[in-house]
Amino acid sequence: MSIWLLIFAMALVTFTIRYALYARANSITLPPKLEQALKFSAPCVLTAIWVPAIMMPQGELFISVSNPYLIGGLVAVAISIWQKSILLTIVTSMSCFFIYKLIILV
Amino acid sequence: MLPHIKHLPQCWRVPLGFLLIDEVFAATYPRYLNNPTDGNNHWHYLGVGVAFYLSWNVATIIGIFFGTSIPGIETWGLDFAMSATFIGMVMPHLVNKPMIIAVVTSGSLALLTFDWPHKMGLVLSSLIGMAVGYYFEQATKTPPQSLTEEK
Repeated sequence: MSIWLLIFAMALVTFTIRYALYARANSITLPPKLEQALKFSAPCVLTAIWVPAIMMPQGELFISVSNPYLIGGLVAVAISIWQKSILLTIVTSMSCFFIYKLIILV
Repeated sequence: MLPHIKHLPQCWRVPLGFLLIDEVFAATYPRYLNNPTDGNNHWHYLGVGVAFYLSWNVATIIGIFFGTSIPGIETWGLDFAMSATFIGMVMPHLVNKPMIIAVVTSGSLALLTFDWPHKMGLVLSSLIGMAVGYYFEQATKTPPQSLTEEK
C-alpha cells in the first residue's frame, strides 16, 4: 500500500514541477537573461549524463580501447556531427558498440 | 516552451505538462521554431508525447514480465542506448562557440563530480555549464573596446 502511495506522491511531485509554469504561462514572462541561459540547459544536462556514462561505465574513469562504451560513444559523436540524424546515430553506434563488445573484445 | 503554449486553454496545458520530458521537448521544439505561425503545433506536441508515453509504458511492462527470463541481460550493455540517444540529441546543437564551451564545461565537471551524493554533481555541472555558455555568449556579443583593439 505504501508503495502505491509513494508512486502517487512522486507522480504528483513530477507533474507539479512541469505544470506549475504552464498553468501561469500568460502572467509569467521569464527574464530575458534567464531565457537566454535556458537554451543551454538541455545540452548541458544531457552531456553531464552521457559523458560520465561512456567514460566511467563502472563508476571509475576508464579511458581505454577495451571500454566499449567509450568506443561506441566516439562513433556516436562522429556520426551525429556528420549527419545530425538521431536515429542514424543510435542505430550505427549501438551496432558498433555490440560488434565491438561481442566480437573484438572477446 | 512558455511562449508557445500560453494561448492554449488549461485543458490543453495539463496533458501537455504531464507529457513533457526531455525527449518530447527535443522532438517537438524544432517544429515550433521552424513553423512559428502554424496554429496546430500543439497537436504535434501531443502526438509526440502520447507516442513516448505509450512506448515507455509498453517497454516497462515487457521488462517487468520478461526481463528476468533472459539470463545475463544486465551485462549486455543496453544502457549504452541512453548515451547514444543523448549524444544524438546534443551534437546538432553544437553550432556555435558558446554552446560548445557550455557543453564541454558541463561534461568535464560531471566527470569530476561523479561521486557526489544525490546527483548533486550532475545538477551543479549543468548549472555551471549553462552559466559559462551564457556569459561567453554575452562577452562575444559586445566585445569590449580593449579586446578589439588588440586584434
